[in-house]
Amino acid sequence: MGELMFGIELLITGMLIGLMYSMVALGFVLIYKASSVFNFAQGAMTLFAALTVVGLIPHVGFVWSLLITAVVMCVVAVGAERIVFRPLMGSSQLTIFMGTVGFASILEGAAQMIWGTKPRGLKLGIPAEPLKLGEVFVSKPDLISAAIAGLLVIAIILFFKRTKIGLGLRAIADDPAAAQVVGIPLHRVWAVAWALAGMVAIASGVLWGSRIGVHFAMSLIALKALPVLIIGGIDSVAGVIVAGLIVGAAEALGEGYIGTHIGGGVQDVIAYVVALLFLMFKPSGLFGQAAIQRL
Amino acid sequence: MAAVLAQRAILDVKNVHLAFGGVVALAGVDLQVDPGEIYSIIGPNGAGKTTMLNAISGVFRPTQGSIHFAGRDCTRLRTQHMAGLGIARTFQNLALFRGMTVEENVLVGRHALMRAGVFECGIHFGRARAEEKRHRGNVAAILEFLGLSHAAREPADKLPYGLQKRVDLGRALAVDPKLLLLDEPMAGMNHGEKAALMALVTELNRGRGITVILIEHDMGVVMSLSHRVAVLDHGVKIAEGTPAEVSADERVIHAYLGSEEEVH
Amino acid sequence: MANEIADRTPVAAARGASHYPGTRVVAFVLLVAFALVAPLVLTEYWIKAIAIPTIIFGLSAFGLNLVTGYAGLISMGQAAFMALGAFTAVIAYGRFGVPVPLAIMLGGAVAALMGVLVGTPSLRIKGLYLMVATLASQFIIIWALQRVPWTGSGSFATLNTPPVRIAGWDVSTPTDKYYLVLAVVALMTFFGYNLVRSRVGRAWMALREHDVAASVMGVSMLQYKLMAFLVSSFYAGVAGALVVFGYTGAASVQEYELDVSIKILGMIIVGGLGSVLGSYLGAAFIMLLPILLAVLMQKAAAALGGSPAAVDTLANAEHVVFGALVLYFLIKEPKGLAELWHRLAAWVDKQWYPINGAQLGGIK
Repeated sequence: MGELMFGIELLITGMLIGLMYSMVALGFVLIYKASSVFNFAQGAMTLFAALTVVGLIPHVGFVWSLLITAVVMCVVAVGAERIVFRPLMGSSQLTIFMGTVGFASILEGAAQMIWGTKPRGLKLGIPAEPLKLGEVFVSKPDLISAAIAGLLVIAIILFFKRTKIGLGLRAIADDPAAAQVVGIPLHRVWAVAWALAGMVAIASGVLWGSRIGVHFAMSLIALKALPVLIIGGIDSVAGVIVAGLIVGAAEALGEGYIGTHIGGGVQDVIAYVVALLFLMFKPSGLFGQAAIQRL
Repeated sequence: MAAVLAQRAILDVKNVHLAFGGVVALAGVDLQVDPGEIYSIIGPNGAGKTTMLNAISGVFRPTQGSIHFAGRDCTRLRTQHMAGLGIARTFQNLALFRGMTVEENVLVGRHALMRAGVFECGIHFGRARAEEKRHRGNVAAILEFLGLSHAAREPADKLPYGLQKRVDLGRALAVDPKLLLLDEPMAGMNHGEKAALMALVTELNRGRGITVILIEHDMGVVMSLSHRVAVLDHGVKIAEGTPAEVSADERVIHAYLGSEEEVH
Repeated sequence: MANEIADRTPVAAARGASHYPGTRVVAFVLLVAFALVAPLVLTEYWIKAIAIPTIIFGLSAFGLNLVTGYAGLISMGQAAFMALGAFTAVIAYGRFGVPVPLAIMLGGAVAALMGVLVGTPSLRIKGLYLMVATLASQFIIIWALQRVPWTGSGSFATLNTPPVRIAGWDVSTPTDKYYLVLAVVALMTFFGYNLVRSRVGRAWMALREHDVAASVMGVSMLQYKLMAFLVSSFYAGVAGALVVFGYTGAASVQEYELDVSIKILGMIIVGGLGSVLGSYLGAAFIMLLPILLAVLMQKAAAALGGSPAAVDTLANAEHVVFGALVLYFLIKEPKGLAELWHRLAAWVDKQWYPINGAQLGGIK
């Protein structure tokens, strides 16, 4: 009985964290939809946003800090679009991806030059005592973080489905040339996509920061969203959510059951192992279209 | 009659079907191409001509039917084995190796005829060295034949369009083909260039005995070059025969007129 | 790139008329001469801390250039392959007494084996999906090295090599180590230089430019993509083994994290994708960057009267400059330093031998 409860607890914790992965992954989806690029800098943007929020809190308080960071991220995003991606337009995907690697390096260096390399804590003021649901204990901060992440995910889906810019993004993803012909303002849509990815970075940075602290390793957390994308299928928002849940659950269960036998750390790689298996046997992911093949 | 043809045909395509996710591109096409002939495939846009070439060169696999080349079943053969059999092709959109020189482009065409493995190539001694030298010689002759010698060291994508088309052809010739598939070789060319290319194709066909399958929109070119012509429409062969027979065929005229209206 | 040296040199055409052999040939001879006598002219610090690591990382960058620059397949796991080579070599030599040259080969072989495994998905997936696959292997390999019992285990798993002896030669001084590294790297570079100009190299480039056309010409995607990963990771493995025997004297897992893979990627972008020379130019540039920055910031601090920059600041500034360089070269100079050098050499040729320069102008 206790064994079962332990399993259920792990599963719930895992899925709550998984929702936070889904949210990070949607940051990648936004850019991918707009420009067919895996934005390697999403992790660095998360670090940059989190460090800015934490650095500003002592001076202006939490709410103002969030607002100022939002403005900063918009500037960063639009700047990235202008000076990095517009000049690389028309280059190969490989080249643009390398561009995002370079951009990530700049952001990481700049963030730490401005705010220092010391790890910082981030308290959201959520009481830490766990919530008891029947026999199962659930962490309150995890629950609230997951709720916020979930809301954000829904907001992004609505954005894609309902707003003009969101629909424009989907049109551009389908056929950039055609989208331009029918008068969708490519650059504006891109800038908006980047800015939104910046907002996702803030949310990710704050939620993850409150969990693991704000420090350099944060960009690695964000990179874990890449396996989530592979598993879910990059063109499927629903897939990304399900995949996030799967990855979160796999991490928690793997750590709980396997990690104890091999000295822990299973959660660091299990997402990548699962993604690698998908790439070998089902590269289109759970819900993606099988269009990755040649031609 | 059909049985006799099938026996001596160098390429024997039987009842080939091909569909992409429900969209039917070829719906049971038969083609028999005799050794040494120039066989043209014509038809309105979207009739399935390029798809047919892709099926013959192994880029797409037929969902049904069979393809025999020189008596061998190559329906399920992978693309990379076709060159070794002696099937070469050009591409409608050129598909040149852009970052490479003209000479390198054509040398890739020799790939299937060369044997040196990774270790030999790295050491560059003995067999690998001799082989490389010999094939560079072959390529030089091909470039000479196509009038490209002066551009051998130029990056292929920096050449004018007409010369790029010749590089594409040179790559195919480097395969030492028995069967050459030409996908709209005249597209985008002016009169003079077309005449020159027609002379080249005739020379390849008569002088070197290469069987040619030609897809071409310019009817003048098709009628004067081809021994036989097949007409595809909506993935089905609607007519076949000598240029004169085909141009008199009712269904052909209808198919073309019908599509003209759609296009314009 | 490679064949440009032999082929595109305008001077070659005019060789009959002039005795000047061409800037590139002169530069190459000077470079070889300098490499051979470097321990006599450079201080021990320069040999130990700069020349040796630059050559080793140049080799690893060359390996990455084979798969990424030539074959057009992204790989984010080059550092992990180096780690595999380093640990294999140190275990083979230190624990089982395998002779050093064989241990180096073995390091390469184990890395190559893993490289093929990692490259397998590249047959079905393309571009950025492959990026995730190689990124995954970077994390998984390092994670596994931290946990298998033979490496000493832990996040800082480190194995020291016993004193390095090859036959009767004690490879103990920086000069000894330098010549060991130089010999291996020279051999591997000769091999790779031939390879990229051969049937194999052309097949890789053809796959990169247009894989369907390449396979119509008879190039097997399966064979050549896997071969690219195999050769590339072999080079990484050998570089890792050289770190052990010729540089730090140890295999330590924390020296091969993701940031090192990214650094190596940066080297080939800055140096020149698809260029042998570029791999080494890029490695030298990126290895010298922190020193250059330190000097510059010290000068700036002295001039402005501030205090010298902290180590942290320096590391972060390096990040920023590295990223900016990568972007600059991608946008403005996509063929990298190698292309800049070719242009410079052509200019010098023209100064030295104007008639030939005029001929060149006529062709272009």
